[in-house]
Amino acid sequence: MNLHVGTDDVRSQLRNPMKHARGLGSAKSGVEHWWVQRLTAAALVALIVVAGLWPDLLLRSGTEAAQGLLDPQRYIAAVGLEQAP
Amino acid sequence: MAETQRPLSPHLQVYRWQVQMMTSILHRATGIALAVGGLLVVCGLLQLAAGEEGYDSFKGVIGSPVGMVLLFGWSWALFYHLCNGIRHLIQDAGLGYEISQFVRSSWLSVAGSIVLTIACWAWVLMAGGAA
Repeated sequence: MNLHVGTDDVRSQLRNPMKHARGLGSAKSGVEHWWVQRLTAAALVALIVVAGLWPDLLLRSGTEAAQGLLDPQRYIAAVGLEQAP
Repeated sequence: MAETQRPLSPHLQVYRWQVQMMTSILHRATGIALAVGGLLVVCGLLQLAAGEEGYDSFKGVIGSPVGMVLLFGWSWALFYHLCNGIRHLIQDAGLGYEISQFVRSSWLSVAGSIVLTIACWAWVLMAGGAA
């Protein structure tokens, strides 16, 4: 490796392709955020498709997963409007 | 400021209108509209939880002519954001960057959103459960 040519040449020789594998561009961060955005976007597509084609399935699985899904107290408590006993 | 001879970027109105501009702007706009619509959904859930009386008044509001028009708009916003979002996901995978593909996929997401909106409301009205 010839280090005595010019700054640019040295830099390009020292630049390591590993940074691409780690997803580190000049910004040094943001790859995770990018992937989380895409993941949640794909999940929303799936959710809309399921909700559109089988709304009953979604509601049923929701009520089975969380008993009392339609219990008013859950929501009133969740937004902090619960009256002190 | 020092005088420079650098070329300036032309102002917005100089550009020839292209469908990609509209799909991009609409994606933002529908995203904002859907965020606001999410509040309406939460409002409906809270009214549902609050009891029959509250939910009936909620149904009255969204079932009114103005409410129905707003719901129609929101449903289109959802379908447009869905179609164009899928288009964006495909582009994120590195596909469809030729200008001709870009224009075609833009029109596809617009057409898809209109078709899905009409299909959805046809189903709703035929099922007889409007609001």
